[in-house]
Amino acid sequence: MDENTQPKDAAVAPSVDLSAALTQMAGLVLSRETVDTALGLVTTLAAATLAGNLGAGVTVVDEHGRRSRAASNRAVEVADALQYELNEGPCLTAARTRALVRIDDTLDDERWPQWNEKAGELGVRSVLSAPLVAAGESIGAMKVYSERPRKYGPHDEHVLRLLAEQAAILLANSQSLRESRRLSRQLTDALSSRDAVARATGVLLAEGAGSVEEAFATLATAARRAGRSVEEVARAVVDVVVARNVDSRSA
Amino acid sequence: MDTEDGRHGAIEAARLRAELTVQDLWLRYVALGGSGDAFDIDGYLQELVGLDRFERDVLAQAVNEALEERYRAARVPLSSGLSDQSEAERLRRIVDELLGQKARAREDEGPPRAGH
Repeated sequence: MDENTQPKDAAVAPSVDLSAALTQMAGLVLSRETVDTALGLVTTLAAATLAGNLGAGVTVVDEHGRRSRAASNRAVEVADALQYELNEGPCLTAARTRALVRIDDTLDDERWPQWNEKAGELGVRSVLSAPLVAAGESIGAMKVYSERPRKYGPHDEHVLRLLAEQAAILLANSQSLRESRRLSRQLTDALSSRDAVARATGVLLAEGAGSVEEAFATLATAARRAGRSVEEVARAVVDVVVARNVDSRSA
Repeated sequence: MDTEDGRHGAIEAARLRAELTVQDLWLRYVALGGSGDAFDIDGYLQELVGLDRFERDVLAQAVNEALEERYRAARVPLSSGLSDQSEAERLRRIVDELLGQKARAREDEGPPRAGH
C-alpha cells in the first residue's frame, strides 16, 4: 500500500555499510568520559556517601571477561583482588546472583570461609556489595568495606542500591564508549588502507593493467617479493608517482 | 559464476592459526578493498555461501598478511640483518619496476633512479 520509499541513491551507497559505525562514532565527541574516570567517580561517591567506611571499590567485567577495577585505598584493592584469586567472595556472589550481599562480621560469616579469613586479617569486618545491572546484564559489583563489625543496616543497603543503579548506567555507557572508540579507530585505519589500495589500483590501471583484479594481483605479488603488506606497497606506488610528477613539473 | 574453489577451509584454518576473529579478518579484508560484509565472510568461511573470485583473493591476502605478521613478530633478528634503509630501497626498487615498464615503453622518462 505504501509508496516505495526506498532511497533513490541506494545504488551509489558505499559497498561497505558504514552507517552503523558512523552513527556510533557520532556520539564519541560529546563526551571525554572513560571507564577509568567513571570508575573513579563512582568509587569516590560510594566512599563519601556511606560514612565511616574503610573504603569503597567497583569492579566492572566487560563482555570479553576483562576486569576494570577502582578502589579508594590499598586495603580495598587487596581485599578485592583476593576475591578473584580465590574465586569466592561477596562481590562475585553479588555480581553473579544480581542480589545485594551483606556481611555483618567476616570473623563469623560462614558463606565465604577463605575470603572472610583473609579479609579479616586485612581489617575488613563488615561488607556491603551491590550488583551493577545495566539493561538486564550484570556488569560487575560495587562495595563498601568497614573495619567495624555490624556496620551496615537497611538504610545503607538502600543507599548503596540506589548508587549502584546510577553507577551501572554510567559505567555501561562508558564501556560502550570505549568499545566504539576502539571500533572507530579500527575503521578509520581500515578506510585509510583501503584508500591507498584504491589509489594504487588506479595508478596501475592508468599504467595499463587490464582490470582491477589484475591490478590487485600485481600489488599482492609485489608485496610478496618485497616482504611487505599490500597497503605498504600501495602507499609506495602512490608516493613514487607523486614524486615523479613533482620532478617532471619542476624540470 | 565461479564462487567456489575449496579455499574456504584453508582460509578458515589460517584465520584460526593467526588468532583472528571473523570480525578482525573482515576488517583486514575491507582494508584491502574487499566489498563483502562480515556476514558474507562468516558464511563463506562456514561454507554456507559462495564468494566471487576476486573477493576470495582479497580475503586470502588478508589472512596471509596476518599470518606473516605473527610469523615475523616471532623471528629472531640476525646481527647482520638488512637495515631499515636497505629494506626501504628494496621496496622502492620493486615499485619502480612495477611502474617503470610502462614508463620505459613510452620513452618519456629515463631509467628509474636508484636510491642513495
